[in-house]
Amino acid sequence: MLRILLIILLLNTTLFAQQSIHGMVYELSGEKEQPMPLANVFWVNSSVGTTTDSSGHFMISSEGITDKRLIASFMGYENDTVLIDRQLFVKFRLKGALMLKELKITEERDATMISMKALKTEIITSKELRKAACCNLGESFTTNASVDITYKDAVSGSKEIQVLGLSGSYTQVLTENTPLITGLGLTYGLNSIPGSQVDAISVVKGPGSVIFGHESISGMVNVDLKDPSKADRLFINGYADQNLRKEINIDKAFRFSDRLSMLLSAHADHFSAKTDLNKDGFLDMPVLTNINVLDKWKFDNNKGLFSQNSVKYLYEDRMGGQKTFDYSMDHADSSSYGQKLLTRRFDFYGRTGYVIPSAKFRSVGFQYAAFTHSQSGFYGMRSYSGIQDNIYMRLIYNTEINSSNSLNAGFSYNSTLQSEKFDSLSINKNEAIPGVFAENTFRKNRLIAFIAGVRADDYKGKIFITPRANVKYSLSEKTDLRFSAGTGFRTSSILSENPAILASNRKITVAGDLKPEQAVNIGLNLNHSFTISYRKGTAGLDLYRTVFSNKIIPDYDTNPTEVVFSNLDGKAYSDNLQAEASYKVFKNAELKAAYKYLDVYSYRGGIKIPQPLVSKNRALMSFFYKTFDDKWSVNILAQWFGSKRLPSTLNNPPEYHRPLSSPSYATFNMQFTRSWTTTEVYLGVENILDFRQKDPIVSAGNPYGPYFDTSYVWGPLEGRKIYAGFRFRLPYGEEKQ
Amino acid sequence: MKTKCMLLLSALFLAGLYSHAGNNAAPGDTLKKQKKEIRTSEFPVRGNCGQCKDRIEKSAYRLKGVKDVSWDVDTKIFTVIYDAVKISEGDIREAILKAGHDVGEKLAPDSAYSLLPDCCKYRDRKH
Repeated sequence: MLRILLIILLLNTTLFAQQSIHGMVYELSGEKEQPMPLANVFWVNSSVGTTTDSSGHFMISSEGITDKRLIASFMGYENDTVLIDRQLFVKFRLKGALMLKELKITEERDATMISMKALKTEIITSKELRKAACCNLGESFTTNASVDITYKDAVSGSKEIQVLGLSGSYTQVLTENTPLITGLGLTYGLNSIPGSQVDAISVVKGPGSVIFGHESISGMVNVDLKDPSKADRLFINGYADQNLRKEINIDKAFRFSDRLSMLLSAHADHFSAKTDLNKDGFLDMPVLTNINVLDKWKFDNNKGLFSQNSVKYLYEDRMGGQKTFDYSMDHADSSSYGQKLLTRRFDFYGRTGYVIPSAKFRSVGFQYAAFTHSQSGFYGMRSYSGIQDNIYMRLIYNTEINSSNSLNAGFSYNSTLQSEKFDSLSINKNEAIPGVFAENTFRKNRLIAFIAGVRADDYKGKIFITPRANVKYSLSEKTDLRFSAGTGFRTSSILSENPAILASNRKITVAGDLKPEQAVNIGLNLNHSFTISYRKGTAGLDLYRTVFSNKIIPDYDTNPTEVVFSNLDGKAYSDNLQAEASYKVFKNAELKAAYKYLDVYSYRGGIKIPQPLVSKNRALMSFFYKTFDDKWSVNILAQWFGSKRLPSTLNNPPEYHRPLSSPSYATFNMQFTRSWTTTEVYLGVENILDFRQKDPIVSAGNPYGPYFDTSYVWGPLEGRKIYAGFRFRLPYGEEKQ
Repeated sequence: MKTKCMLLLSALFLAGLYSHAGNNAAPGDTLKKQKKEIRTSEFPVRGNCGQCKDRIEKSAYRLKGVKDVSWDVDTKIFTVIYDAVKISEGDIREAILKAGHDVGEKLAPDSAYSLLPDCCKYRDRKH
């Protein structure tokens, strides 16, 4: 009897096994797994299928199934297939499309993309960067509408990025999640990262995540450099333009084992032609020599221990001023105006992480950086020197609380020792800011996700609380709505953030004790992807508002021979609207158009004062075409800049008057690229119409007079530029698939 | 002036988009364009990896009349949407064969197969 019962029982289970299979579908994000509801599970070559329930579980019948391959799929994720042999329980892991693309070689990624996270992140990959011959980070944003690049003055050639129309210092630029470009580095920091070293740039508008600090107000830009374990064995880029600017990059990767790899990257940039197209007696662009060496090591034992460490050295010598100046001199006298700045910088930074083996995902990460930056030189007869030493540390603990919540918590410590001497003015900054932070990422399914975080930082005995939140809600499979709100605070470095003052004869006045700058930022985004005529496109709308409760605004208006720095009396604002659309107009051609409206202003004595040198309206259009055989590609870029308000010169003598606003103008760039297996040759023209601002320097004829000012730069200083270059790559053997 | 200029630009861009949309929405419109006959075909294509996927999809996508393609690495099923007035399924199969990938029962010419990179040599490995 017992035997019969046993047989029946066994028979029963085998029968059951043949008919029904249980399983779970997980979403793989980073190294984490999360149950995935509403995923499709179906048999190959059959109509039998099911979807997972809210906990990611599914059950499917195998009755009548001949092809025993079971597939799990979800829109935007890579399919996972399992061959069913005798198992009763199956586990699927689906990789997100974004992650999937990151795992593959760079060439296969889209040129720009918007991630699926709660935080709207635009990612510019090396593919996009190659559409223009970008020499350094400062030139990498030409095709991105969210970021503007503007000249700061007409002598030194320094550029800054602007996000939401706010000066570069309100955007935190991170190098591999580490704040290296701060303080003195803000002036030329963007030039310190060669374009060919860059793997991808992420741009977040608004304050972003609390993990990376309290400083970001208008945006956060993170630059990821090439990964030693994925980089080409050898990469060489050479570039030259008609003005004999020469540049070379040599990157060599070493894979010592499947755990240890290293990238050695050297960059040299030399520009010596003394051109003066606008005939104001001043060089249009400074002559410069830049040398940059990076050594990046990566260790990954593939069992949860990870460490990446880099050392970096930068040398830069730049000289600008009057053509008649003797550039071998180490100072200027009253006979001619010259400017020189010699920069030396040494960085060490890295991160080490460990994934704690346990049922739930837990990890600890330690991030660290130390750098010393020194620069010295002169601006006319005023000498300048600056030195900055920084130490930065951050410890993050990441844990999965449950299937939909993940917590990041930790502390950070940032110490800055900075001193600047300009003529008789000396400005010192000595601060150590310890902070703690916690951030929760909630994600139930694809419909809703949010990140909420808060940090507390101790600045000179006062506790600053910085809360930030980002919510994403999917209106449909193709439409995402995002909302963000947060605060930020930072301490300013008035000289390095406003280098135009150095190259002027304005008297610098600091009124009172400058307090940290503080702001609240709110944003709303709508992103929609569509398919028309089987070709894909995207459309997006962004709205942002930043309200400063304190902002150190240099007052250039009240007195043209003076600049006054003071705490804000009242409030300052930045309102931004951006509309963007892209569409594949042919199967292998993409058209992108963007429009941006910016209103940046403050109230001084109850009067609304628009921020000078910001275009209220800006438009951009780009067209990219590539032949199907990948041999030829062309990129055309058109940019239009609306009128900008210029600082008031009404109190100047009539001969030094300037208009109150600049004219609007457009520039066009074009680049052709021809590719072979290992080599690419590119030829391009920037500023095809040769549009230049005629008279960027006020009182150029009398550089030691009180009205000499180089800050009235509203347009291009360089004329039409024809350039050519090549890229040679020797990849490692094919990846194992 | 600037705003007008901008509006014009965006209008042009949108007009571009909608003219395409129009074509799509009214395939039976015989006034300007000849008739379209949009079809979807599915057939197995052999290959191994992401590199194969790129090659297979591109070899068909570049053909005139082909609207959309996708090849599934796991199921090896190739899906193509095309305009049967402009191109036949046979032409599409032929193009993939020429790229070096077996289509259904038909083998790609050895000359094309031999040019494939190692990761794509699907005949040499059990997959």
